Amino acid sequence: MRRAIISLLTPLLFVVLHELLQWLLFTTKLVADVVGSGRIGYGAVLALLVFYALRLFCMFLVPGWILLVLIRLIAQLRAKWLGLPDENATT
Amino acid sequence: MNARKKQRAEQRAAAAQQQTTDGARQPAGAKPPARPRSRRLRGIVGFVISAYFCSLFVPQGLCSVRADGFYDGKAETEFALADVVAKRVQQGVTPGMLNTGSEHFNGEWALVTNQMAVLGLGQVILAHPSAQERYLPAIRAAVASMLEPGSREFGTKEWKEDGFAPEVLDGPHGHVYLGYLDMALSMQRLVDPEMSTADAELNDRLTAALERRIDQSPYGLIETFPGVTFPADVATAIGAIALHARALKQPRPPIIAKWVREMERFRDSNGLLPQTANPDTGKATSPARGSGNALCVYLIAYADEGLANSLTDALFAHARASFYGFEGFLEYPSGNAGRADMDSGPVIMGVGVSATGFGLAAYRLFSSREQFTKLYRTAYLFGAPGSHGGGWSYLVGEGLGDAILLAMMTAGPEVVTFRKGWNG
Repeated sequence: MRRAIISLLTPLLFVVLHELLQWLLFTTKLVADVVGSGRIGYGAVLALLVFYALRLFCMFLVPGWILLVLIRLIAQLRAKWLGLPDENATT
Repeated sequence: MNARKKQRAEQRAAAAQQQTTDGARQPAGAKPPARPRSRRLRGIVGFVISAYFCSLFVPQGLCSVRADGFYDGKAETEFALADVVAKRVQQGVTPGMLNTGSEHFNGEWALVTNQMAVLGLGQVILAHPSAQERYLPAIRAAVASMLEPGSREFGTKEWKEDGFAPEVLDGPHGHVYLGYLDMALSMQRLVDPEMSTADAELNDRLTAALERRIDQSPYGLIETFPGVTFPADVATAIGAIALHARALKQPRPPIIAKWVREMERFRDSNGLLPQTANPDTGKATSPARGSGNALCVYLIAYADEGLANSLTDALFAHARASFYGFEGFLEYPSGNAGRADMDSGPVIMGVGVSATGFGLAAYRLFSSREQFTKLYRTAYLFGAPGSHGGGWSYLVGEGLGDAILLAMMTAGPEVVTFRKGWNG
């Protein structure tokens, strides 16, 4: 059960990271400087690339990941409830 | 059937017992047994199916936040973005504050930031007259920034003469970048009953000069800079002329119909306006682009709904890119090719940031809620907006981007095309 909860929290961690990075970029105005500048710093570009990779990942893949974890969690709860052996114990 | 079920349950119980026994035999600290390959494969396949299934509707839903609010022109949605833009232009946006790496582009960006802020805030006032007191100070501040000599320095340097000088205003040189300033002045005239007499007179003189130059040009095309003619820049002069007449409650100036006829002739085989032209021959000097045409739709909509609507149809047919419920406009529509530049902004897989941003007005004006939402989602995905201090701002849209998106997303048909007026 503990493992299942950790499995659920892992994708949510990416969402939290994304929100944190977005807040950080808004606060520092780092991306605004990148967009409004012809002289782009490597650090700012890297931050932007990481942010977009994380954003696309969170938008397109994390929901599916969460759904899969939830399906497994429900299967485990069902197995526990019915007294069946837990097939996902090692997953 | 029941016997088979019972047999399976017994097999599972035996397997579980075996698993427990194996576990008990393992020495302390030993690694758990390796995951069977088939189970890992099953996990990967499950993830792919689950991710595909969710990606069909979850990102679309996440990226549609506030789309309906903008499409319906809801006050609280528009005010959230307008507040951010108003605050920024009230602090002053000047070329010296920008850092594009080119003094020329710093000047252009500051001019367009202020113009789009004035147009966007003006549209919000026209849609919600109660917001007049809230946004008029910002409109006045943005116009004041635009009237600073430094704001048109980029044009003065190119022409080697000040576009405001009386002899230049009466002269033949195009100076059509001043259309951006004049359109902002015309919008202020429309929404600000306390506009200063000096600014109103300047608006009259600029409008008259631009109208005369377009009228005297053989093909309705006048130069932005010596030897450089952008139809989108001429469109802003046409928008300024239309707004000026509307502010003064005059009938639609005949120059608009004349110019529209010229543009109908100038359109390419896809029905789009080429990006640049030779004003003396009326021929295209570079192919049509998404950003230029999408901007033209917005600016021309103030003057002629028919041409703007038909340009939107051409963009829809030849420049639309669609992916999973997201949409964008190609910077180089079908049949054309080129690279990203200052006008296009970043181009990702052919889709231009500017073209897509400007395209929001085209869809807001002439398309369905569904189409608008698809385009809005792309702006949301890559613009990464968020709520900050009660406002709504785009992460990559600081300054220019926020101002453009405000102008485009508040471009309601009743406000821009003036349906109850000329066209109604």
